[in-house]
This record gives sequence, structure tokens and C-alpha cells, in this order.
Amino acid sequence: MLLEIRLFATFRHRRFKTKQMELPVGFLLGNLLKKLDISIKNVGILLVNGKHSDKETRLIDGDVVAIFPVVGGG
Amino acid sequence: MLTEKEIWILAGRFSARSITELSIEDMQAIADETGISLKAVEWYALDKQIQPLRYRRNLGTLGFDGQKKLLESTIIVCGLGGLGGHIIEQCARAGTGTIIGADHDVFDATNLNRQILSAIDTLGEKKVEEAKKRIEKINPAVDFKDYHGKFADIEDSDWENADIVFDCLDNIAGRIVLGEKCTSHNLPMIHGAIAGWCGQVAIVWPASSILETIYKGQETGIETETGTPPFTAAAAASIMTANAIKILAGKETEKKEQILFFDLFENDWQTINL
Repeated sequence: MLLEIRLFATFRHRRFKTKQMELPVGFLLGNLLKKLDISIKNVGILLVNGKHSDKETRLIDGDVVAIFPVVGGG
Repeated sequence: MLTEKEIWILAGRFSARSITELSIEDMQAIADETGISLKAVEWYALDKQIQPLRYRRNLGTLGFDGQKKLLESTIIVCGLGGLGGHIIEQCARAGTGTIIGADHDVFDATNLNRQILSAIDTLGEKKVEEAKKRIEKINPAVDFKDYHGKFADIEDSDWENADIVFDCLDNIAGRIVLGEKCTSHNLPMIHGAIAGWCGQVAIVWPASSILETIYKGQETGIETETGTPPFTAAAAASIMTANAIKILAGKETEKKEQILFFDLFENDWQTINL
């Protein structure tokens, strides 16, 4: 299946802004984070097709995944 | 805002001549002569479509009614650092009637890059004290109540009188507790957080799960690596203030479950529906 991955803010460093990725059907969102070397503890907003999702979400063909870091300063 | 007697006194004072605008000096003179508060004099003038000059550049945006509603409003600002400092500055200038500010801290050198109330000569001073001085200097019509302590120290009566709460804290655990507190008092909360070039702002309506969604199980954000530069603090604070004033002035009625995430480096703004 083909996914579109969109990274935001510091997650773009040494990675990419947007990328098409080919992965097996049903791939876990948590495993995608591992593949991208993004620690779940740094992830704030995590969207699949614009809806908030968690690491247990299974991805399907055509999904658009958007990953934002946790922001907590003031 | 005004008693019947005060309205009668002001009606007499204002009917003496045809007035369309009021200078700072005029308003102060009326307040001094009548013993009525500056805020109430401003409110009365607005009610009669008379422009207090200090709000003239607001009126095209807020209107006389919106400006009156803002003067009647009470906000609680939790945290008077990078976000909170800019917020009380803007809210005082805009003409927010009552500001309640809470912060347990004093200024140190690491605040100077972004905290508008900090300066070389205020290092070591209480943040709430500097906030009070600043508000008095900008707009003496605004009532300011300060709490040199945590937001948990704010009295119940202040929560009950408030219209909106600003989350300007610098830690996630505190933000979650504040969100729960706002829900228990049925108050909307304006959440803002920053890290590096990025920031996020949301209106957290009572019982909303936005904070749990974005902070589930998290203790700190990327700000521990990126720091918190001045432009991001000012940008987030401005968006927070605009969102609050929309509600306070009666311009925003739709309750959206949304968060705005911005990246000033990429000039990227994402509005996310949660």
C-alpha cells in the first residue's frame, strides 16, 4: 500500500517534509513511528486522514499520516 | 457596571455639551469630579456612542457594543512569562475590564529573551508586581488582581466571576490540571504553547478532550531542546488574545474543537479539527 507521510516542525530535521512510502497493508502507526525513528514520547498531534489516531491504528492504502511534535513551553 | 445614581450623574455631566470623543484627560477629569471609576466612565461613554480616544483604533473592529462587553469582562491569566506577559499587555491595551494574574515566580536572566515584563532592572522582582505596574501604566481603567503563587491559590469567587482563562503555563502537568479546573467552573480556556519556531493555540471549551488528546502521557515537549524564542512567544500570545477577545466581545459563538499549529520557520499554519 502507498501512504503519504507529512512531518512537521523539528521532525523534518534530517528526515523530510512530505514523502510517499510503500508499506504492507495493516502496518501499525506505532511501527511507522519506529521506522521513522520518532519516539512516541515526542509525538503530540498524530493524524491519519485528518483524524486524531494512536499508535495502535492500522494503516490502509492511501492513508495520509501527519505527525506533530509535543509543544509545551510558555 | 453603573448604578442608577451614577447614570444620572454622568447623564448630567455629558449633556452639558455635545461630545463625540473623550481624551484621556477628559475621562480622568470626569472620573475625578464624579468619583465614578474610570472604567465605568468609559463604559458610559461607549454606551452613548462617544469614543474614548484610547479605544478609537479598536472600535472599527470591536464596535461600541464589543468594546463595552470587553470592559465588562474578567480574565484569568495563569503564568505571566513569555505568553502571559504579552497577553496582559494586549488585553490591557484592548480594554479588558478586569485581569487576574497568577505567577509564583520572579524574573531571572533566562526570561529576558522573550518575557516582555522582564528587564535588567526587574531581575529578581515578582512577575505579578511587574504586571501590576505595567497595567497601571498602560490603562488605569483596568482592574488587576494579582496572585503571587500558583493558579490553585486563586479564590473561588475569582473563578466564578471570570469569563475566560488563559493557559500560559510552561509545564504539561499544570496545563492538564488547569484544564480540569476550567471545566469544573464551566469556563473556556485559551491554551497556548511554544517550542522553537513552532506554537499551538486552541480554545478549550469546558469538558473538551483536546488537552488529553495532544498531551496524553507526555511530560515535556520539544521546548527542552529548542528553547522558546521571542517571536514565537509573541505570535502565540497574539493569537491567544485574538481568540479570547472574539469570545469576550461577543463575536465568536461557534464552539469548534480545533487546534492551530504554526511553524514560523516554514510559514506553515495548520488548523486541525480534533
